[in-house]
Amino acid sequence: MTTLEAHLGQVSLLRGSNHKGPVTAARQRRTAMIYGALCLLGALPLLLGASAPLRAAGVGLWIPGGGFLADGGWVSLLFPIALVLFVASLVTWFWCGMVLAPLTVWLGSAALAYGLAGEKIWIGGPWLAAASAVMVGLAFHRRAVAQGTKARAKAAARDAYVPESLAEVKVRAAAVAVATAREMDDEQLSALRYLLDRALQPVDQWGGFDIIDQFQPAALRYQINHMGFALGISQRAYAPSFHGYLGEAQRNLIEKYLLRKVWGYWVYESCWGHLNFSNWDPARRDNIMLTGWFGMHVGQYMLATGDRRYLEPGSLTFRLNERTAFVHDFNTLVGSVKANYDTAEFGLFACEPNWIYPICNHYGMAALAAQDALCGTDNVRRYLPRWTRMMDTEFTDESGSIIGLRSQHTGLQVPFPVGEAGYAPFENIFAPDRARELWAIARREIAPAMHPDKDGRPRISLPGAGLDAGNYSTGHTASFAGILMGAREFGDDDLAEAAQNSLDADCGREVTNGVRRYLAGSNLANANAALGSLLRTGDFGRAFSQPPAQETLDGPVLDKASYPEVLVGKAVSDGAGLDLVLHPGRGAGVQTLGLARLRPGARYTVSGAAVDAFTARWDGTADLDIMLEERTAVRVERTHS
Amino acid sequence: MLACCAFAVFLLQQLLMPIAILRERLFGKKAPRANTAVLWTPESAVAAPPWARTALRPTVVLVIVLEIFAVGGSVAAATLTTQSGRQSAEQKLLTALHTSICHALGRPLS
Repeated sequence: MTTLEAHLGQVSLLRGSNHKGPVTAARQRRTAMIYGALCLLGALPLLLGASAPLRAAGVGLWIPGGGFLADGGWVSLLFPIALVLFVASLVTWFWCGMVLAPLTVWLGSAALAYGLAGEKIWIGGPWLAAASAVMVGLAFHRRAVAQGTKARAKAAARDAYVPESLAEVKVRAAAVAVATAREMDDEQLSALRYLLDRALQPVDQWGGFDIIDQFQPAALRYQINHMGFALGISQRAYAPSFHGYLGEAQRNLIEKYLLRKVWGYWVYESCWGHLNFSNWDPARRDNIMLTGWFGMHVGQYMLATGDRRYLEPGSLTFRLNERTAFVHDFNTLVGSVKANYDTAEFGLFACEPNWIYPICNHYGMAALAAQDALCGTDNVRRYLPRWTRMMDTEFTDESGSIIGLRSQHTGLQVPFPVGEAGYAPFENIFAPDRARELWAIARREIAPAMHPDKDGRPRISLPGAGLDAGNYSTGHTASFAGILMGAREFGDDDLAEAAQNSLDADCGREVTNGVRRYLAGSNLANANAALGSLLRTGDFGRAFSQPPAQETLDGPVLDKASYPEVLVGKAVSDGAGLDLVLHPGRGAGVQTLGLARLRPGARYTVSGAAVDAFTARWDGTADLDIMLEERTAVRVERTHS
Repeated sequence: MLACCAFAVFLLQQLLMPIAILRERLFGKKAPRANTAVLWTPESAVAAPPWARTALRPTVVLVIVLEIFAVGGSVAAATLTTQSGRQSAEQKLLTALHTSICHALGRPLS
């Protein structure tokens, strides 16, 4: 039985069953027992005839603010307010890992009810509080039952169409583009320039980034990582032999990430989430949203370029202030992911304290795969079996979909909008069979939204106002970009074209001075739109798991070119020579290119430049003038004389 | 019973919230505008999107400050109203404040 067949069999068993993983079940039992104990504790003062303040505080343990009902009178009006505050505290807990927030509101309101109590409690208060608690419980139960019914119906539908859809995905995903023939077209170059403009500004400047908060999806770190992914794809798939400003842009993003402005959120989350007031090392406990994502990003850069600087100890140092720095490199970042996996009861581990996001654990596993490709480790072989088993048992719902978010402490699941289309490209890095099954589901569930536009071109119309997590606004830019990425990665060209058309039609497309942007989207959504435009079948999977050909990594490179005057559509070496395709980015004119890694003193012939031949300097470099008016192909080849 | 201005404001604020949400549901939000961060170019040299600094952050801070004042005020007032007997200095101050606000409004709140 193949891995895929085994997985399909396992997921089929899970689909339609009221399955709950053993760790999840144990955590939920523990949560229920703690709540039961709280209720008992709260009932004791009533049963023992204790003082009114104690009785009010006890009722406050049943439900947040319940003690105010026991206080009676005007104070009862604090009950709905306490409930609102409690919901707000739950959001705060989710938002930034502030474990203390809901505890403070719940226990604080009980303490306040103690302080506000008179000589006797209102007799109806405990009954009303108990009824409220039961009603809340029943509402959640009803919702869970309704969701289960819906999920089982979805599972039945999926069981019917997945085999056929999967067969189509297998055919499409097998058609891989020839690496040496890849060249960015004008549209792709204009998307790339959006990223280069931002990445090439000084490291401490943030023009063109959304700056809202540093806790949730709009945080700078996610923008940086996804911009890096897109630049890395352009490097790996189109220009592996171009260093120059493309490498500088990627390194700038990595350096930006090390600024406290980006990772300083962890200082706060350590304090109010882990109650850790001394060691704020961002790559130690939890925080896979940093270690997994950044590890993936840095690993991709090193794989694509052959530059190994971030393997050096201290190369990724997070400096808190003049006295304190957390010294890391690529291997210690990935080492943190592995160490957390080694001890994770759920098999996956948390981003913010308590909150386990399977999507971030996909980034974590991808970082492990990148280390395998770079350093020859066997992370995927060691970690993937347990990771997939736990994903399937602890983080898969009755429809067979991955659960978006689970609370580590309580075992409860929380809705979080990530679908099969979001997970599939990541699993294509380390588990391509599973990835294709995910995509087989995603494409079928997106298909009903596809239709021809008024000109007969395919497009997608999504329901509702949409959500752009990159700046917490409405709109479908992020969704279209996500669909585009998945469709390109799995060779679903019809769907990709529909997503691209929808982006162009609905999301405020603007091309100014050769730079494409979608005005209705966030910077993160724009980065993903650029990434989607650059991807072709299998590019995302390869970028994190396979280096370019060795002769490309060893051969001559384009080391210097002016930005934006010289746009590099292609740069590939076959070991001895170098193929370039260049475009003018700011009008026609003579441009000087700097070549490197040539054979010292060797003679080279050139086509497409101002000279027909040149001799490399003794340090392996040479300068080359070209007249750049339009798309220009340049071929540099070593002579054998 | 002594009225609590802060408590009233707090309640009003919480009561108006659903109305604001309902209004947004019925009439929609303001028309979406272009993201200024995305509009940025190296030539424009805008260091950061202005809306991020001028709108959201101060609003959040303002809401938090108001919430703290409202909760603190309501707790203090509720504590004082449930106490009987002699007036403390704080209670005298609160009474004076309350009276002046009510006079300014032209009518007593309780």
